[in-house]
Amino acid sequence: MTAIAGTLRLASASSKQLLRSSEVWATTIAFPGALLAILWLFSELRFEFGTQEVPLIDFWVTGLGVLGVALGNGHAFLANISTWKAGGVLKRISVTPISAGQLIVGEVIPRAVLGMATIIAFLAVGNGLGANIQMGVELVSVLPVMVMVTFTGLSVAFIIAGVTKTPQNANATDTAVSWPLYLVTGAMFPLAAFPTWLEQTAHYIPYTGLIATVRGVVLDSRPLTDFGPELVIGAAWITVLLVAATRTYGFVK
Amino acid sequence: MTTSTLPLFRASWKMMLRSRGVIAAIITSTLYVAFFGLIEDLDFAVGTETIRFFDFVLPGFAVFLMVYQIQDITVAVAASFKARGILKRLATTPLSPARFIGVQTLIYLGLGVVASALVLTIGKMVGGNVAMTTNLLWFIPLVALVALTSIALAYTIAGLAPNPQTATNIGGTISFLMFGFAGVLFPTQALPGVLPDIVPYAVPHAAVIEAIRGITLNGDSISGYGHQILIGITWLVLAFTASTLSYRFTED
Repeated sequence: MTAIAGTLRLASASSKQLLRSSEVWATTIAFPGALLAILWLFSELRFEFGTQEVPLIDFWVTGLGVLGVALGNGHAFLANISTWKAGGVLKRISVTPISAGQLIVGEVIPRAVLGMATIIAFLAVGNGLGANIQMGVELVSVLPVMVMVTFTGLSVAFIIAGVTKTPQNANATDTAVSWPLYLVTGAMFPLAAFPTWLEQTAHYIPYTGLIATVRGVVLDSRPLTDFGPELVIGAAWITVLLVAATRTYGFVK
Repeated sequence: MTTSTLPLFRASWKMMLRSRGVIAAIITSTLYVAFFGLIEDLDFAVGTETIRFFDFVLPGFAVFLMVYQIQDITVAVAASFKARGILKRLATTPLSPARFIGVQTLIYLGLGVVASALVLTIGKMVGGNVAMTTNLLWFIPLVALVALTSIALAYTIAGLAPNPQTATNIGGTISFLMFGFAGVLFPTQALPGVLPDIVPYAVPHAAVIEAIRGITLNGDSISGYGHQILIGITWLVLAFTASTLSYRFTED
């Protein structure tokens, strides 16, 4: 069996395991579903800041939804890879015909696909419930941004699993890292309402530019080319995070 | 009885303060409110009405974040007691399970009130428009009412759920829904149709949080919120009754 065929079989097996997992149903169906239901019921509510106003449902579907799904997916992934580390799974795998790298890629592929599919479904259902999401080419054009959002989350998961010693510590660290992101990335609250120093700093935080891009494209039909600086910052973060992930997580053992 | 209860209080208090979850809850609640204080130029708008975002969320967060944590912790502890038969074993010792649970409840009640007052104070310091009148003292019994109801709900959940994992999931789901609909983060007037009229009756804490908001933001007199407090007491009685029916406190 070639390495690629073996990896694909692993990815297939991981996909089946994912679909059987209750935490996946919680992070891809239950949490996003409950959030959408709440936003739908509060669809008359608006945020006002400066001279602007935006319906809460538009703002949160494109911000909290994107970030929540990405972080939820990363959180669930983290549980797996930190358990692998604690149990020495990769070390044991490396003495079998399957390499540790294949195992990881086999796990990453279904997670990435699932994360992206959930975000797209979240935006589509949000549109059905009254959010002003553009469902045409805009949705297709943000697909690369969804890939970036997903890989940012998975890279962070590898780093946390790498720097922590137990799955419990990994879980606690991930929670501690995640909650400030909800507040300062513009996912929940408009950056324009922040004090100037915080608004300017927030642009350089992972996810901030990617959320602004998704919002600008699917709410205002702006082209991706309008978001060059945001995408460059997002890409720079992915590069930094991937390098940090390879250094902290013992991929090959 | 008092001589054995006081050491139990001291031991429970120490155990609680050693719990990383409790410390994290206090720090997190405080940081949330401090962060919201930074968001100066943000309002909620419903129709033609607007309300400053920070003023709206400050009373709700001061009450709910701590109470949510207490409910979460109590669900986990009570479900664990049930699964491991702790109360049954305790019943064979001189310490009665009822007194053991009573002390724990009082400890968490005290923690809820102190932590909520701390969060409100931080909120005031970072720019919240808290009305500093003598009516503000009513904040204490009202927070206690919310916390006690939550603890009773936690025992009900632990009693009805088959295992600790399910109990935790049910508790988390109920808290999430209360967070959305109890007027903690969003004004319930923004709900459609008759829901704004139903929510104060149907959602635990919603009516009491409305009273707390009026007292803390406007310095309103408690006498203007008799109806809301009656609803809150009714929820407490219902939750307490449900907990005694579903959770075997004495393990007889």
